[in-house]
Amino acid sequence: MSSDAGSESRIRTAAWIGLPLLAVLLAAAVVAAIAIGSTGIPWVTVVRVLAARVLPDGWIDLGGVSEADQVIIWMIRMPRVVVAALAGGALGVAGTQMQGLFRNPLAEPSVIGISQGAALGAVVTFVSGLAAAAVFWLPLFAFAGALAALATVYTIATRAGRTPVATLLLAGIALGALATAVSSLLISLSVVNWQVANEIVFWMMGGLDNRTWTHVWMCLPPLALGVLGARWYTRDLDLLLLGEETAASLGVEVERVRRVILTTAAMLTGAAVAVSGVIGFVGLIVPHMLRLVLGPSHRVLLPAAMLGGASFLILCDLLARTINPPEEIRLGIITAAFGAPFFLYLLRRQWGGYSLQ
Amino acid sequence: MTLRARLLRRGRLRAVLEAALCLVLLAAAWRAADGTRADWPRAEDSAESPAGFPRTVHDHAGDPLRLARPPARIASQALVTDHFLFAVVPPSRIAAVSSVAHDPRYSYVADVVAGLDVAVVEDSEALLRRRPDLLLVSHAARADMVSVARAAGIPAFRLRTEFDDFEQITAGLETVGRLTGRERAADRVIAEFRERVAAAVARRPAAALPPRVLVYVAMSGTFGAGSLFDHILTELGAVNVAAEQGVGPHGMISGEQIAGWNPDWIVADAPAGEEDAARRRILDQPGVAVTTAGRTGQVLVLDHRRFITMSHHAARLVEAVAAALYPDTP
Repeated sequence: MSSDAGSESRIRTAAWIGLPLLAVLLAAAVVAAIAIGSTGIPWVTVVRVLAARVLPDGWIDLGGVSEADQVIIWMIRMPRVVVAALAGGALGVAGTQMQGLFRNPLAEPSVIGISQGAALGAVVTFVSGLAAAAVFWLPLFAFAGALAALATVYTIATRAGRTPVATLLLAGIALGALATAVSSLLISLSVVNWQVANEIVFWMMGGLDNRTWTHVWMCLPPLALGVLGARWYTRDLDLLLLGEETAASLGVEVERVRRVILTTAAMLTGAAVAVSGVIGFVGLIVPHMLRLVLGPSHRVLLPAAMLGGASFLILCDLLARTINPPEEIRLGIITAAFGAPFFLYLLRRQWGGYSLQ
Repeated sequence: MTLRARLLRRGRLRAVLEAALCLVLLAAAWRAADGTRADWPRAEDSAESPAGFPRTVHDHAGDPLRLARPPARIASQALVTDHFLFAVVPPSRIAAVSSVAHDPRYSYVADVVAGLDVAVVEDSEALLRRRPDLLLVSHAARADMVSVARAAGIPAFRLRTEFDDFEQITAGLETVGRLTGRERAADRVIAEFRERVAAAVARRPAAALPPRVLVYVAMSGTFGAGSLFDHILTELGAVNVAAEQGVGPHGMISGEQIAGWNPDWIVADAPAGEEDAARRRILDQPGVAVTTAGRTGQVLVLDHRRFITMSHHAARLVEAVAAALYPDTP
């Protein structure tokens, strides 16, 4: 890094310009996503209905607005957009944490098996019939799967109170492969029961169809805790970019910070997968794109990744449901269509000696 | 670093701003949380009720649904419920169907649906605009969909769409008849279904040895004990080889197992128009070629619709299998 005064100035500039711009982008994405759907609703109507919901009774007159429009905006589009924002923001923050912790621009939540663990939890609910029984089972099992995966990886990789990063990564890859294999086994045993197999395959491609306010309330607590925890350790993440020994010498309790950051990343990823299915590349490309523009300081990068991830997923979802109406393209396909070329670009840059600092 | 030091480092102004933002968001969320259910006028709000209504019907999950009058704008989420619906109620009362209903590869009502102005259930917004007063949902559908429908004020009714025997199929038809006030139409469909099945079962010669039949569907799947196919074969006086070998309702099998089990008949599926090519592929498999079925060419390939589409159209599957197993009897 360059001199403290110069870098601090750049951080402030990035914060005062970049973050408001991202907030405006998010607001525009939200309005566009709510206003655009398979049936046309004027954006003025959208704003009126939303305002009537948030402001005290009587402030907004909804005369002339059909009940169908009100229900579509508030019960169909709004929860879907909110879930997209929350899941995208969560994945953005988790990806930023992973890239900072592992000091690798190719890191994302799936490298230590969190996403795969969440997917396995969800597949269990499909195969057992719990997913059809009540709304909360699938998100609950997905979230539990994410945390169980993290706990298992950490237990395997920790010896004498130390958790080497390389061991953590290898354990995560192995566990992720195992979780994927078990999920595939359950799917293969169910494939002849085509209704269940259909549901599983569609869910694993990611999607936000039929999202309700229940999904919003379910993912908010772990998400809020994860974001708060992430914000709390931004300075430590910045110091870890300098290397573990340097960070330790500057007062960072490396093992404890790593444990907390991984736990918050697991909570964020688990919450996102629980309500949106398996969606890849958000945690990879969003932090990276923003780092190129705003710099590596996590004080700015974390909130930026939250705003950017939210905007990205909302816009991808908008594309997914409008590109081939009335059918929807699965959301994971859209994010992969953007993410895979960017991933290849990152690989080429890394060969050129690109670093996170 | 202590908590106090962390707070001071972050700056009081930023902490206050962030806390204020959180409070505003929480207040907006609290305000918005009221009235998260829609209250559309429903059938039960009407003044007059036809004979037999109001009535309460319990769905597959045991949840009661009270109907004040016969629903006039019915939506169906699954192919099985599409078939039930089109068999029992006039098309004018159908507001939305599943996307698969439009696909002639799987649907027996695709040609009828093509001529109707119906929404696709998977498009939630188009479904809502039709203001359905009843949504038939598969028992296996995710709870999210039912939750969205009920939150939007649409009465959702879970109906069984996987069947282990003929009585479950007729029970489904009876339920649809009861829900829609079309009991007599449902009874006619049930009677026809039973007649067709009885006629197919009657093809079996009295002294015939039970043929050993193996179901072999796409991706090496089979239907064993407890499946509808098992019931069909039992009714036809045949032996379900997969059930005989201990396979459950759904299972995967290998060529080696087929060779070892040596079925007399193999019943498989293929896309419509590709039955002959699929039959040749199956006969070319080494595990099949050494079996009685493979040596005698007793491989029956039917189009997908007969396997994927159950409902009362399972009678077509029964008829086709009976005609293959007992070709000498009318």
